[in-house]
Amino acid sequence: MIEVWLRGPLPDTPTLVQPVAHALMQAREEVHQYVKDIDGADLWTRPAGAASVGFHLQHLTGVLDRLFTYARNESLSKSQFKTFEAEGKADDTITLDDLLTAFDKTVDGALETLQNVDVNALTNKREVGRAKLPTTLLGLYTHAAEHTMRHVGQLLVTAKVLHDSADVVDEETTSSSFTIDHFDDNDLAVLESSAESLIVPRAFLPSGAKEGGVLRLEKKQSETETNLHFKLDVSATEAVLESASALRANLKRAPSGDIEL
Amino acid sequence: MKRLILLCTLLLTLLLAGCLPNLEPGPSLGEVKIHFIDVGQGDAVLIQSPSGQNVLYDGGRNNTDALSYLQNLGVLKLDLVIASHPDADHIGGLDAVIDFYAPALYMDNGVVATTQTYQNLLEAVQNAGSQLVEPTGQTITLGDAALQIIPPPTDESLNRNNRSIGLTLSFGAFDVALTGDAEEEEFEYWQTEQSELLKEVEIYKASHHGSSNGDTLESVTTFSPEVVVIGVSATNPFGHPTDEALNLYEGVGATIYRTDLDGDVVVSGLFNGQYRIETEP
Repeated sequence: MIEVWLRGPLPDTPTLVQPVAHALMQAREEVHQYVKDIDGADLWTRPAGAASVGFHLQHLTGVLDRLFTYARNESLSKSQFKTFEAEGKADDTITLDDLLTAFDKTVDGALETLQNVDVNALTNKREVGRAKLPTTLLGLYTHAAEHTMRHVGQLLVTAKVLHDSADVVDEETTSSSFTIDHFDDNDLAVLESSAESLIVPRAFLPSGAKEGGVLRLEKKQSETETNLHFKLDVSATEAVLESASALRANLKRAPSGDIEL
Repeated sequence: MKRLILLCTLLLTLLLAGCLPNLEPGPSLGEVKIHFIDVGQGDAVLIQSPSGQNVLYDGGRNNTDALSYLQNLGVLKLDLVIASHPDADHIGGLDAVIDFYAPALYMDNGVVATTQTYQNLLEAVQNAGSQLVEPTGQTITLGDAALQIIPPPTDESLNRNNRSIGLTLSFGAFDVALTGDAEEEEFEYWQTEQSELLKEVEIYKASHHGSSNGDTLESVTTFSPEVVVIGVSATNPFGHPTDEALNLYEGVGATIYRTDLDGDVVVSGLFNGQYRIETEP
């Protein structure tokens, strides 16, 4: 589907803040799309130590709420501080639906605020946090859009890793291994499992990981959270390398020298 | 005898007039065709010589894109398949192509990969009975056209991109260069150890999909292309093509084509160096 910002103007929203509204609407669509297959048990799982889906959803909602509070020239309430402190703490009483509902409600509120914004006030000064750091109303709205999309991007990666690894980890089958196909731009690693690709941040991989290395995905469960870690499987790497080398060595050879087809 | 001479004269006349039916769609008489196939994020380049030889350089990631393209084009025979280097976005589609066409020859860079994709490729080569060709800087003649292989460095400490097989295609005054995913180290190696194989070209395939670590100022200056074609998908997460790469190509005055925007890019080159470009989004 075409992205929100290309679907045309929002008639009820002032033109100057429409890019902010477009970004928030896009974020809401993408969040629902990315997490739709997340198992409730994986809500607080942290692949390779990265933030959990639950944290991202709480943080998206919390930051948006706080930035729009500063935009109203208000300070944070005790309730907001409490919410802030609880972000990312695994809580089995919280469901994915709870988190999505809270995010949707906050985005709806932000969009309504943007519809009623006084565009002449966009350059008015605002202060952020207890330190009262200086910004403007437009600065807060722009950061709200940028911060939201940044975390949606991180949420996408975490959700994809969880989705792609769920079956193989649970079943403990031989396909629970991944091979590093190659490293690419943006510090990303392209992994392969059963000829399917998975792209993850290079930081997810153990130090010393090289192209061609075979990785095993390990699941560690504690009382409070589940962690997924890639571990180098040196012996599997050597075995596959030996097998592939033998296969290539046994191919029929063409005579050396120039060739006429 | 008189009837035979008459028949030969008629055939010759039809041939010169270009009226004979083409059994296999390919280049018109006196044209070399280079198809930069839209395989999403990856590379697949089909070379068709005027005398009917077909060479595939890389096959994209997906195992149907390149094969479907060749089949839809009506390609009946594939003579040589070249895997520039064993990254999945270059070799993922080659096993299906080799299974179908059973080319006589297969060339790779000798870097053994550990992926299932690579295993599938080698098994396809084995089953097809294709002969393995090592890239040693040889010339591969395709009638009046010729491929000059630019061999990769053998230094095993280099990453796979930097051990890509490069090549130039020459047809009279018309030249094309393909450099896989070569990065700075490989371009430096070519400049110092294989400089006699490098030349200015009309058409150039962007190295590493327009990555920030692919082409260098030296590489684009050396090949000095008039046209650069980038094999890239619109949704790739790597940021390809990067502004740095686009600036390099624009810096030498090249016109840029991108498979994410232009779809399949087909270049028809003439012996006198002239060429035309068609896109099929």
